[in-house]
Amino acid sequence: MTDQWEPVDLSSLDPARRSEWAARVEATRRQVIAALEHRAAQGPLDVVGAWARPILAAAAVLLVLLGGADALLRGPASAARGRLGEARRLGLLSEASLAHGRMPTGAELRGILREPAP
Amino acid sequence: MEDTDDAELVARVRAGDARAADRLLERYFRACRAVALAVTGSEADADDACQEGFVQAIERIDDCRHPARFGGWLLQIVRNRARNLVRHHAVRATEPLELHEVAGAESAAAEVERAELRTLLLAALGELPEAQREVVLLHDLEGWTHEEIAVRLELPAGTVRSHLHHARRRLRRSLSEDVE
Repeated sequence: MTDQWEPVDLSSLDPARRSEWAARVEATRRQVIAALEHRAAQGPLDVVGAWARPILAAAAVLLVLLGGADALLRGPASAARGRLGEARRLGLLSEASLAHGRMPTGAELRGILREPAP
Repeated sequence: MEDTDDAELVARVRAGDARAADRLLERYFRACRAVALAVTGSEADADDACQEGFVQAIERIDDCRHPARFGGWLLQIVRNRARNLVRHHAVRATEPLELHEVAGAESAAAEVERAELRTLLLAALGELPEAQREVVLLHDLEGWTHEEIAVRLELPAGTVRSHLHHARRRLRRSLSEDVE
């Protein structure tokens, strides 16, 4: 695009015309040097810490999500109680079978699995 | 174009070289101020935004993923900083220019005259879209070329020319209306 419009003189907006500008540049320069000195003063632990914090936070979030997913997959608390009862009864049956020197029968096992939770 | 140098300077700043940071300051600080002025419309807020933005960029220099494009990255930080200032100091942004800002060796009459001219210019710039303000300030005040603006603002070269064309036209019209 050819520009037939001459530029407007914006020089009165030149920051260097204002007395504060040089001081502003110098103040920025000092802050930059301070920032670089702060970076240089950081030890390896600070660097590791800067990386570790977000990683630990991400791990905590992941743990909560996994815990929630596990709870959902396992179902409600009553189902969990039922499985606990089954395990206890299976344990008792195994113990009794060992005492008598025989394997538990299929009927005994089915009975334990069908028995309602206490 | 100095983009290769930018990458080298960024690497040196990361290694703690204050002189490299100073080179970046000399290269970009005025452009930071122009971009901040385009956003805020206030010279005082623009000064604050460019200082805070530049220091923030140095503090976060490790986050600059493309050191060769440091300029564009820096200007975006300044732009964001300026927008935050506008949100927080909306009232101040509409205040007329403070006359004490132009205090210097010149006569009081010249100070007043220039302050009036600055007020007129800022008002005329305020009528432009922000993108046009940035382009016209970088080109006509800071002397950046079309190509430099295109690369550093990540705009197509044709868009830069178009922004400049429309900005100049609208500025001329606004200022001639003010004079009449």
